[in-house]
Amino acid sequence: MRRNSILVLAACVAAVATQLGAEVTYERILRAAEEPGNWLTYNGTYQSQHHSPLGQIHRENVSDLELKWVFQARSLEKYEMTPLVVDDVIYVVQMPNDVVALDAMTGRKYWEYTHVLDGKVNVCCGRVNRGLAIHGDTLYMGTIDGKLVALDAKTGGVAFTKQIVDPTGGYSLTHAPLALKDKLILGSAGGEYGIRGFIVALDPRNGDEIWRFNTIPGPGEPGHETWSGDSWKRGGGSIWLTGSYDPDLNLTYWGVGNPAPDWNGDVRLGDNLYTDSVVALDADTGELKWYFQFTPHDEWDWDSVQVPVLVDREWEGRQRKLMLWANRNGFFYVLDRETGEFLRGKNFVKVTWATGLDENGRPIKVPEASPTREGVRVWPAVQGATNWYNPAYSAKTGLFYVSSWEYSSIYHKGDPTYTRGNRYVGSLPQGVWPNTMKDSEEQQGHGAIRALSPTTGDMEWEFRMTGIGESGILSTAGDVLVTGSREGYFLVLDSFTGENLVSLNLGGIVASSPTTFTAQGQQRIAVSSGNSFFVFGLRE
Amino acid sequence: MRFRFSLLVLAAAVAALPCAAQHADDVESNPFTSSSDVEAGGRMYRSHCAVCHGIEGEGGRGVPLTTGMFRHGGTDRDLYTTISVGIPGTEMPGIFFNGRQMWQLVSFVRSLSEGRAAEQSKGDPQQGSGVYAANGCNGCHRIRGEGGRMGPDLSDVGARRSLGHLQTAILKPNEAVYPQHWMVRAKTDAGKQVAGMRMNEDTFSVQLIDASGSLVSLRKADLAEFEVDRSSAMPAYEGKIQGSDLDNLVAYLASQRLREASDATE
Repeated sequence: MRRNSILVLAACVAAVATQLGAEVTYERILRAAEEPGNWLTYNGTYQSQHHSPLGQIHRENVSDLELKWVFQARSLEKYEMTPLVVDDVIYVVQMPNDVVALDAMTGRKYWEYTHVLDGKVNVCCGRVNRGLAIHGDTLYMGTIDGKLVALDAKTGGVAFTKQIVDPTGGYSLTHAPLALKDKLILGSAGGEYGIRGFIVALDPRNGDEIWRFNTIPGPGEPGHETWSGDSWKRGGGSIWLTGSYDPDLNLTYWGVGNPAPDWNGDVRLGDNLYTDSVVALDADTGELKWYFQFTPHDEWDWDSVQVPVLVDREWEGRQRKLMLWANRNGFFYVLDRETGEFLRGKNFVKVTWATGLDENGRPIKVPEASPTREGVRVWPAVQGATNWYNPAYSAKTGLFYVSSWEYSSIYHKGDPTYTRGNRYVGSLPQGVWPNTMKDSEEQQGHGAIRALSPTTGDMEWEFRMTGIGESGILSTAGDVLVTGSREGYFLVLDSFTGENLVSLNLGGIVASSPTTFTAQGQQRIAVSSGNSFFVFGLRE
Repeated sequence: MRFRFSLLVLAAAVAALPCAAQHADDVESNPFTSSSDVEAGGRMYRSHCAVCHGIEGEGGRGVPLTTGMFRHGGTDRDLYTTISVGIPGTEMPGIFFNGRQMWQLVSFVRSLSEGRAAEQSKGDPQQGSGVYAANGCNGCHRIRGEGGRMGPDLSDVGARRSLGHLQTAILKPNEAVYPQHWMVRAKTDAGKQVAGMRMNEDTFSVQLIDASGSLVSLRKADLAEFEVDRSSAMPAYEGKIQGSDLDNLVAYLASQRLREASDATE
């Protein structure tokens, strides 16, 4: 009897304590910057600047940070997810596809959803998930076995699941969907498995498809002529990172992955649109408004799945809508996001595959840099000058911050053999990670957080690492940058100078974006390291 | 036993089926061993494996595959598992081909050693033990708990390196110096000199073992001088150890294995 009474009482208390705030409407996400205590969409806001107006934690008091709590995943795989934070509740994804709702103040669990994978899945680079979307009071997750899972944000109950892609064909869903108006937008990973990529808008009520844009155009679609023979059928063009949105232009911007096979372009002659491009799509119809291809006919695996950073600022005497993009191929681009016009481009690491960019932003390639049977050393290396981890932009400093890698790989050309659902890459470059093998001085390489000026393309400062960084960057109104390293460090830097203000070894790779939010009004900074999720706040 | 027996019978039955390709993940012995399978496996090998194991399987960063001896099991199924899953704790990744492709790769890996005698040292390991001692190798190297610690531990070196690699390491140690064998030289702000083999390094600190065998951690912020020497601390023995002494020493090192590999018939 006594036990039952306690249970009843506990249920009542829990019902009060877990009462969530208002539903997360499109209008709330549109104005996400006005409620910085929350983190309502994967990139923080539709502009994806990863800059928070929160400033309780700032340059002068950041040394007073203390650990508030840790959530350890029931998995040994590493976090790549960015959590959502809605009214004092944090939603994390535990690898590969479990969702856990935590109290932002204590880290205690409200509920957990466990996803049982539907058989074996082939994923190129770990059984990862990068995050969730919330629409109304429903959470949405794409799973690596190709499903869209809709969960009640209050209980974790499954509203519905729907098979979106076929994992036996090499397709998987790894990125956070983008909740936009009355749609969820997402695409499929699988660029190393010879998929044919696409972006779809789905109905949040049932997962039904509203529109589709093929990142590899088929017969009759513009761009199809950039693929030789039937190579388009397995041309890659995966989507594995969440895009951005400009509500005034009603355009949603997505970075597209590499062409397949990665390192042998002979079987797919042509520019291979829209791989390694940013595409600007009408959010209501999916119609392509413009595109910009960073690396035509890529032979080095330079996915353009970086986060499109949308910035409004003065450009050569007039206010313009810009898009800032530090690409895996080593160049930093400034584009006009209304038209796709190329405004400026400059390499931000050592680059040897191109001598520069022409007036339209097209790379001037070095023919000798194409992969060969014997192998050819090229900068940047196969993991790129940067990769998927998000950059940040601070309007206060006017600087663009990016995690950069300085090193090279030896690119080999092999013989690709396509069989459905299996790797289709055409080789494996040597020197995948710096500092892991004996090679020349340059091969050892290093990482750095670099601050770039959009006006000039020049580097204003850098924080150099011995190892490399695989973490996104968070900028805050407290004039600090929060990031991490593969070495396991949680790092706080001065956003004006790059001075290192905090370094703490958390013991595991930091491979996701740090976030900030409030717990009962107090600012918190969260960073995942290895399979644990750490939350810091000021000492009380 | 009965369960095991049933599995074997089942596996044999599946392997005998004409539609084996559809069940290629499940069988124990390789159903794809024709010359065209070997050829197909070779194409995959050259694309994915040769970077570490060498075009002819001669080894390098990865172990040689020409000996017919496989440390993680030499049956068809063992090879299939090693290639598809990888080897935890090493740089050998899993490779995600389908069952048929994986078996073709196994066929090609087998072909690298078929018809070739396992690489045999010309020397005598017992004599080589004397060469090892006479040249003071144990001052820096350790074998089964005996010796110094300033050089790589050699207790299992025979399982990891080819004969050619061992000979080169003796004669020209600077040919391949791995980052974990680099040397660190530093001077603290207080003027203390520190030197040793670099065991780890990050942006803020470095960990090393010094000549006395002490484990030392230094904060870079506390150092007045800091240098990482990427050349080998080992003297080159070219012209110093030669002829039968060299063969014997290589044979001795090649015999250093913590456990034996499995051959194909195990």
